[in-house]
Amino acid sequence: MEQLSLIPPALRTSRPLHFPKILRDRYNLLVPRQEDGLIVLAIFQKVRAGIIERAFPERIIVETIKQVLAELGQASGRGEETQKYDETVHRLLRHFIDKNIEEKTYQLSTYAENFCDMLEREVHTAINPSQIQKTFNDLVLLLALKLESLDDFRHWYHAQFFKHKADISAQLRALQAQIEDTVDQLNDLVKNDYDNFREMLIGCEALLDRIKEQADKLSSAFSSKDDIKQLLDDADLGVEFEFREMKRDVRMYFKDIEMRLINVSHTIDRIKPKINKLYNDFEKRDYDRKIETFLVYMLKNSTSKFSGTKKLKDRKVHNVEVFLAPHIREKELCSDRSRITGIDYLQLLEPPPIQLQTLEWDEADLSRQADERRAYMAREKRIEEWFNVISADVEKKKKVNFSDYYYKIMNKDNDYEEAVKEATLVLKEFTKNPDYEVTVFEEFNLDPKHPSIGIWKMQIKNIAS
Amino acid sequence: MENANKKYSFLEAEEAEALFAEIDFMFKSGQHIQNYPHQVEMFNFVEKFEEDLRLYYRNLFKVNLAGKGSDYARYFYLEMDDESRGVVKSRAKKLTPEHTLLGILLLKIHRIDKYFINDIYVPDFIQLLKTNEEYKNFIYNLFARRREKEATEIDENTIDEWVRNSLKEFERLGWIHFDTRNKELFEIMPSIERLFTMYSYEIHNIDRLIDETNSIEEKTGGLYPVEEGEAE
Repeated sequence: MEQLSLIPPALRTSRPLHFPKILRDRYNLLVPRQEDGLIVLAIFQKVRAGIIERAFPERIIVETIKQVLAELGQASGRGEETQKYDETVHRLLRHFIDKNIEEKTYQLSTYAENFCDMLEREVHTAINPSQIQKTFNDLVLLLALKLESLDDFRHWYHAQFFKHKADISAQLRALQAQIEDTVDQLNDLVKNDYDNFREMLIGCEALLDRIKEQADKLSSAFSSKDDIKQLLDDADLGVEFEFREMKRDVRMYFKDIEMRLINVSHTIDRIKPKINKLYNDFEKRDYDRKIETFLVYMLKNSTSKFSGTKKLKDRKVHNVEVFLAPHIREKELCSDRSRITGIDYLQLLEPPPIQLQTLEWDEADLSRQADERRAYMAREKRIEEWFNVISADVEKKKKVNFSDYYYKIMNKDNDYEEAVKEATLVLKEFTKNPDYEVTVFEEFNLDPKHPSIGIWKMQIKNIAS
Repeated sequence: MENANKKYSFLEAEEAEALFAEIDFMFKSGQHIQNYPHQVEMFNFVEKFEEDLRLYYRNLFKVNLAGKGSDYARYFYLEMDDESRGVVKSRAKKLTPEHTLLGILLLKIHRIDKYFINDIYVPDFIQLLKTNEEYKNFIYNLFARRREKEATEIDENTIDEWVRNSLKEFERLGWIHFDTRNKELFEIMPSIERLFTMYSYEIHNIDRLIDETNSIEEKTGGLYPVEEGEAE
């Protein structure tokens, strides 16, 4: 009975530790080194998956050894392999593999199967609160029946409590392992700049929510422990020292479980703000990136129009007008600056004195001035008429040579000033209109009627589509 | 009259006589008031009577008194909303493209690149803009139509003038504050964030905007329809 106790006798009695000699001698063979353990596990999984028979030839072991060593990056040098494989098989034959001498086959020992089963349960325990709930219900029901005598209670303690204790602890370890995995993922996220950072963060957050939910469910499933505590308190076996010892073990175990569950919740609560900070950092990073892109878009796509230079106090600058990039509008600001119109109030009250001027008229010259003015207006009218004629012709013919009109003006009106002004007007109006193209060729157009006049060939073309 | 006084009780406050006229003028001329030493009295007044003042500007001027940011970064300003736009259009002024570009550059350099911790020395800022590998070519192209290496004195003067004029406008708006003892030294105020707020839609949708621009460019070869009210 002693070897089933929760606490080793040596610890209870403070005697020196004493392990059987065989355990000390064979410890390294019973607890396999990493590659041996993985080889056994790989064979176990192959058998379970039906890839190999329960009884297999030595070739399978050697293949598995090769696979595991390659996976661990421990491939041997040439010529050393056979010896290494041989040594490994020998080691495994001590506790993990049984050899059938007659059939020359091998199979995993029961110890190896238990070892693999234990490994997998430790790593892959599925969190199952409803199963735990049932386990507790069973524990409570059985305990209620086993409190009549110390023998009955001892049976409950060793057979039921010990058996289920492992399951309950495995559930908590699984929860803690999930948290550690999530923290590793988060650390990985922080260190590496993943493209799908946001999605991965959402994944981690969802994982934590799920762990928290499972922890809450487990807490609720563990609530039956209070019934167990109550039953133990109410039992009449309190006078028995052994009962009190076992009861203390049970209570301490449940207290430990409770603390670990609280720790799980606290750990999650501590991680949550870090996730939120990561979200904020990400959002900020994303917003900052957008600002940078926006700025480059604005600078790259804004345009400017130059119209000469302007002189400031002690320097000259370009007269530039900037236009924002397409789709970007100028934004409005509230601005009612009527109070600063800048009217000089005192000046309005006392305006400066008006200077009176005496106008003098040269009556004899008035008639000449009137004629001159009339001639000027008549010329302006003719210039406008010629311009209309030229415009209409360009519209109709799509292309005209201005020199022809120049000589027509000279022939009809015989007015140099009118012809020159017409040329200036045509050049000014058609060059600024994007629908027309004005080309001046380095080629003189001459007219025999006006031998003293020469004009560059100037072509006006209508390019509007 | 009694009701009116109750509604706009800030007018009866002791400090109103000394402060309100100036606050009102600042707000109406587009300025932002924030919790900084040179504006602290006005800021406290606005914060104290925030709701009253909001009603006052809403009822009498059809504009909204906006309060943004928190704690030391809090600031107030008047803004036109959909209701006021139709009523008081003449009381609005657009931030020019030149000022807009410099504002975004300033914010980006200060907030994201984290150049200049506190005060910014104007010549340093100009120098940074002219030498920044990322932006200098765009800047010279816009204001000089040349590359930096080919820039003449007039080109350099034009860029200097653009920066200094824009900073002057930002000071008028309360977005920056020049040191009273050294007019070449300025500090960025929290309210300059409003520039990002004004363009928040465009910033958030910049990737889509670029895609759209590229697709229009492909279709039209770079020609855009002239929008109503746009120059030329």
